[in-house]
Amino acid sequence: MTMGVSKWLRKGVSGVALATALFALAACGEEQAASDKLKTGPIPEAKAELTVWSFLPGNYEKGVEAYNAIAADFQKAHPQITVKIIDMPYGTYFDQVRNSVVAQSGPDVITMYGSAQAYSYKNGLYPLQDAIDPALRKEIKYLDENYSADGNLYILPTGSYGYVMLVNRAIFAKAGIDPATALASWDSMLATCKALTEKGIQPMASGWKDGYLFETYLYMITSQMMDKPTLAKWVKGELKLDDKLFTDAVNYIMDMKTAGCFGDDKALGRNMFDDTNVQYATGGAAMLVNGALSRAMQLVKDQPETMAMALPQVPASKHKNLVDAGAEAGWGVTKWTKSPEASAAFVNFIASKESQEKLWAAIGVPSNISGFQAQAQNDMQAAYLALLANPENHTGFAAFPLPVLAVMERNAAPLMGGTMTVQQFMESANSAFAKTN
Amino acid sequence: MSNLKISKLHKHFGAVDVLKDINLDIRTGEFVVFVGPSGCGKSTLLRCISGLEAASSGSIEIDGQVIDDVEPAQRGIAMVFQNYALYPHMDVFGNMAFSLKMQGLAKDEIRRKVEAAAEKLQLTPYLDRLPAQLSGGQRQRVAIGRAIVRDPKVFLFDEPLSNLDAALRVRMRMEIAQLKLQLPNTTMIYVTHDQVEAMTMAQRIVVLKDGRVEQVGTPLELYERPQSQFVAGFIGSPRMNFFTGRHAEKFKAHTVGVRAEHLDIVSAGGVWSGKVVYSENLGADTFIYADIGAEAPVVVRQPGKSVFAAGAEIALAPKAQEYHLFDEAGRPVPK
Amino acid sequence: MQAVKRRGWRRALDGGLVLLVPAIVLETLVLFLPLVYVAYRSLYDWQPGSVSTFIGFKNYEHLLADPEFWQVIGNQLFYLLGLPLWVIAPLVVAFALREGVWRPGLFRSIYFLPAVMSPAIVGLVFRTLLATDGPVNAVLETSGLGFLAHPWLTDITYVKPVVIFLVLWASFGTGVLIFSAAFAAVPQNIFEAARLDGARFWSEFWHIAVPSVRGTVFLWAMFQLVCIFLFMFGWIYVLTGGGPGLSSATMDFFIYQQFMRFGFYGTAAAQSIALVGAIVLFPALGYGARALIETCFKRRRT
Ligand SMILES: Nc1ncnc2c1ncn2[C@@H]1O[C@H](COP(=O)(O)OP(=O)(O)OP(=O)(O)O)[C@@H](O)[C@H]1O
Ligand SMILES: [Mg+2]
Repeated sequence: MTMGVSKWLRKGVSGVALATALFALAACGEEQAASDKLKTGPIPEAKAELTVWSFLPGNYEKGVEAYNAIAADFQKAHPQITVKIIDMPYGTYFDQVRNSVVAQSGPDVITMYGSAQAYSYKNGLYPLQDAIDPALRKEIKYLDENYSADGNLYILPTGSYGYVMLVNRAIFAKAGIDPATALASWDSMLATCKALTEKGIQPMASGWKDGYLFETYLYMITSQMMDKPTLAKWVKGELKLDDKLFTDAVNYIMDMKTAGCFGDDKALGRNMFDDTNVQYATGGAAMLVNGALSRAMQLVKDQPETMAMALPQVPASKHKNLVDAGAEAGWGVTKWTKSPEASAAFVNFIASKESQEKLWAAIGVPSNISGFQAQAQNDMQAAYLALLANPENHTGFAAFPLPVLAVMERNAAPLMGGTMTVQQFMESANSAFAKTN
Repeated sequence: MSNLKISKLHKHFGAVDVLKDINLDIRTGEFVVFVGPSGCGKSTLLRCISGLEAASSGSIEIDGQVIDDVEPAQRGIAMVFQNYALYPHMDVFGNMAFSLKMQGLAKDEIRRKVEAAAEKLQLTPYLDRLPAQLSGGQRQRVAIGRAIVRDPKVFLFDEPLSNLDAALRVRMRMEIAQLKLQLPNTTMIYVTHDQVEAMTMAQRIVVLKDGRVEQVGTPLELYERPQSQFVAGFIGSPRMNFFTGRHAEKFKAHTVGVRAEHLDIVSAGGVWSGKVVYSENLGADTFIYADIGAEAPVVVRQPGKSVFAAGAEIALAPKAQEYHLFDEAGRPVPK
Repeated sequence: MQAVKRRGWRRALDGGLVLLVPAIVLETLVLFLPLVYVAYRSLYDWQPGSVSTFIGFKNYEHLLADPEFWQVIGNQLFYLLGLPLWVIAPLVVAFALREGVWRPGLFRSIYFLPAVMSPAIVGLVFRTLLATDGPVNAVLETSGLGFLAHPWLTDITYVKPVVIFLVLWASFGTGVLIFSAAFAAVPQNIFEAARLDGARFWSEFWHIAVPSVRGTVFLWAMFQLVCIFLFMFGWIYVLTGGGPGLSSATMDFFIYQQFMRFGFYGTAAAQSIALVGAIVLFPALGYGARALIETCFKRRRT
C-alpha cells in the first residue's frame, strides 16, 4: 500500500491520479445554480485583493511590466484594491483554469478566449453583457463574435490580431516573382506555389503536427466565406459544422497542398509553434502565416525583407480583401470572486481605450477600439495596421467548439499526410461537434 | 577409464592465494576424500576440477587429456552440492532428466535412464514430487540421482551430508559406499571436514591445509604415519594429545604426540602425571581427561567402564613405540 | 465484556495495525472515496459548479458507441504487446549481469538513471531527439543512413512501437534492479548445477533462471500491466499528445482530454470507471492465466 503511494509520487504525473485528485476537488465544490448575475456598481470600501491569471504578459518581452503598469493604474483609481497579475505559461494555462472551475475557487479575473471556448468554462464565469460600461460598449470591436451559443458574453475582448501572410521579398526576388501579383488572387497564389517549388523553394513554412496551422488556415478561409449574417449564425450555433462551407474550406487547404504550397511530408512532423517560425526565420520558406504583430516584428529582425500581405480571397469568398482578425483575447470574471464589483471594474478598465493605448505604447498590442489611431514606427507596423483597419475583417475562430478543434488538431497531420480523407476528417470533426450540443 | 591428474594447480581470488601448487594423481575408480579445516580450499579445488572455477595456472587432465578449456558439462564430471542445489521448480523426474534433456536425448531414453537411477536410489515413488516436498535424505538422493543419470567418469561430492542429522548421515554414508560398489569404474572425490567420514569412506585421503596438500595416503597411513603434526592432530578422534616443553623433555623432541588410545594409566614409571578432571563413559570405552599442568587436558581412552573420580591422581605412559615426535615446525622426527 | 473488547483493540494496535492505519486512511481518502464519487457522478450529466442532471447509463452508452473510445482501447491493447519486451529485456540483462560485470556500479547507474527521472523530462528529451528535424534524423542523414530517418513520433505506423521502446528504456533500470535482487535471492548453486548439467546461456535462462524467479517475473509483469493503463499519461502527453490522430492516445490521456480540455465531465467519469475496470480485468486475466499454466504444468507429468 505504501509502495502504491510512493510509486504514485515517483511517477509524478499520472492520468488517473490526476483525474482522481480533480474529482476529489470537485467533490468539495458546492453545486450552485447557474448564471447568477455579476454584481456591478461602486466598489466597496473594504480592502480587497484581485488575483488575475493571464498568459498574455508572457507573450511580450516587456509584457509583465506593461500589464503590471495597468494594474497599478487601476489601484491608483481604487486604493482599497490590490491587483495581483499572475503571468502563467500558455502550455498549462487552460488546465489550470479547468482545475479552478472544477474546484470553484481560484483567481477573480482570467484571460480567456470567447464564444465556444469560454462556453466550455461557463460554470466558472459570469456573463458580462450587462456589466460593460455603456461608453466602452460603443467603441469596442469584436464583441458580437465573442458571444457564446447560450446568448451570453463571458469575456470582454481586448487587443487585436490578424492572420496575414508574411512574405520574404528577398526570396521572391531571387525567384524572380513579384509578391504583389503572386498574392493578387487565389489562383495566382497556387501558381506561385508551383513556381517556387519548381525552383526548389518551399513556398510556405509548414508544420502539421500540433494541428494549429491547419486550424489557422481554416479560420482564415472560413472567415472569408462567411458574410456577417452567416458569421452571426455560426456564433449562435445555428450554422452547423456539417454545412458545405466548412468542407469547401478544407478542400481549399487541400488545393494549396496539391499546388505544393506546404512543401514535402517533413511538415507532418513539425509544429506550427515554433517550427514554422524557425523555418521562416532561417530562410527555409518564402511565406509564413502569422497572427500577432509583435511576432511579425521579431521576424523582421531575422528576415529584413519581410512584408505583411493578406491571404488572397478564395473563389467563394464573400469579401473583397478580408483578413481573419479578431480580439487578441479577453477577460472574464470568475463566479467565485469575493469582489465582484472590483472584478467587473477591472475588466472594463483593462479593455478601456486608455489602457489599450498604453499597452500599444509599451508592447505594441494593436487595440480593438474602433477608430484606433496609432503612429506606425516602421513599414511592418504600417502595413499590418492597415490590414487590421479593414472594416470587413472578422473571425469565426472562437465559435469553433474545443472538442472540434481538438479533433481537427489531431487529425491535421493524417489529413495532410494522406492517411485520412477529407470526408473522414469532416465526419470525425462533425461527430465531435455533435457532442457539444 | 578415468584417471585424474592435477599438476601445479594454483588458484587465487584477487590477491588471495587459495590453492597453491596442488599436485594429485587419482586413479580410475578410486574413492578419494579431501579433508581439511574450514577455508582451506577444498571446495575451490573441487570447483576447479568441475570447471565451475577456472584455475589461475596449472592443469587438470582426465585420462591424459587436458581439460582446462573443456566446458564443465563436457568434462564427464558430476557434482553433488552440500545444499543439494535441486531445481526447486522441477519435480524429481525433471531434476534428474534435465542434463539428459540438455544432451538432446529422446524422451523414452530419458525416461528409461531416470527410472533406472530412481530405482537404484529408491526414489521411484517420489518422481513427481517437488524438492520442497521431500525430506533431507530424499533430496540428497535426488541430487545423487541427478549426477548418476549422466553416467559421469568422475563424481564430486562437496560435503553432501553436512546438512543431515547424525542418524541420517550414517545411513547416507552407507548408501554412498554402496553406490561406490555399484559403480566400480567411477572415480569419486568426496569433500568433508568430518574426519570420521573421511576415515570410513576413503580409499585415500588428501589432507589440505591453507591451500596446500599436506599429505596423501590411505586412512591407515595417515593414522599411523602422519607426515606432520597438523595431520596427526587432524586425523583420529579424539584428537591426538600433544606434549611440549618440559612434558616433552624426556623424548628430546619439541613435541610428543600420543593418541588417547595409546596412553596407559600406570601405577609406576609414568611419564606424565596429573589429576583426573573429568571422565566420560561411552559404554564400550571411557574417556578420561587429566590435567598434567599443560595448556589442554590430556585425553586417555580406556576400554570398558573404568572409574576414576575427579581429583584422583594418575600417572600416564605411552604404549611401546606408539608415539610421534615432531620438531618446532611440526615436521616428524625419527624416534 | 468491555474489558475483552478493549483488549482486542489493544492487541490489534500492538499487532502493527496501528502502522497500517495512516496508509489505510490515506488510501481511502485519496483513492476509494473519489472513485466511489466518480462512479456516482458517471451517472450524471456532471457539471461541477452548476446543476448536474441524472441521466442513468447515458454516459456509458455514448462511450460504447464512440469509435474514438474503441480506437483508444485498441491502442491500449497494442501497448500490451510491449509487455513481453518490458519484462524479458530487463530479465535477460539482470541474468547476464548476475555473475558480475566490469564496473557494476557504472552499469547500474546507466540503467537506473532513466528510472529516477520523470517521464516529463525524459519525454521532452526524446521528443526533441526524435523530431523530424531532430538530432537523430540529422545524424542518420549526415552518416549516409538517410533511408533510416523517419518521422518517429508523427507516423501512425511508427509511433506506438517507438513509445513502447521509450517506455522500455525508462522502466528498464527498475526492472534490472528488481530482477537482480530476485536472482541474488536464488541459491547460486542451482545455476552451477545447471551448467554442469550442460545448460547454455538460453537454456539456463529459460529452464532455470526464469522459473526460479517466476514470482517476481509475474509481479513485475502485473505491475507493468497496470502501468500500461495508469502511467502512460506523462509519456503520451509530452511525446505525442496522443497523435498523430488518436493513434498513440491511451485511456488516461483520453480521460484527461475529455475532462480538462473539453469539460466533458460526465463522459470522463464514465471513462475513468471503464479504466478502473480494465485495471482490474487485465491483472485478473493475468492471475487466471498463471493459475491455468501452473495446473497444466503440474498435470503434464502424471
Ligand atoms: N569467489 C571467491 N572470491 C574470493 N575468495 C573466495 C571465493 N571463493 C572462496 N574464497 C576463499 O577461498 C578460501 C577457500 O574457500 P573454500 O570454499 O574452497 O574453502 P573450504 O575448504 O571449502 O571451506 P569449508 O569447509 O568451510 O567449505 C576461503 O578463504 C574463501 O574465503
Ligand atoms: Mg566448502
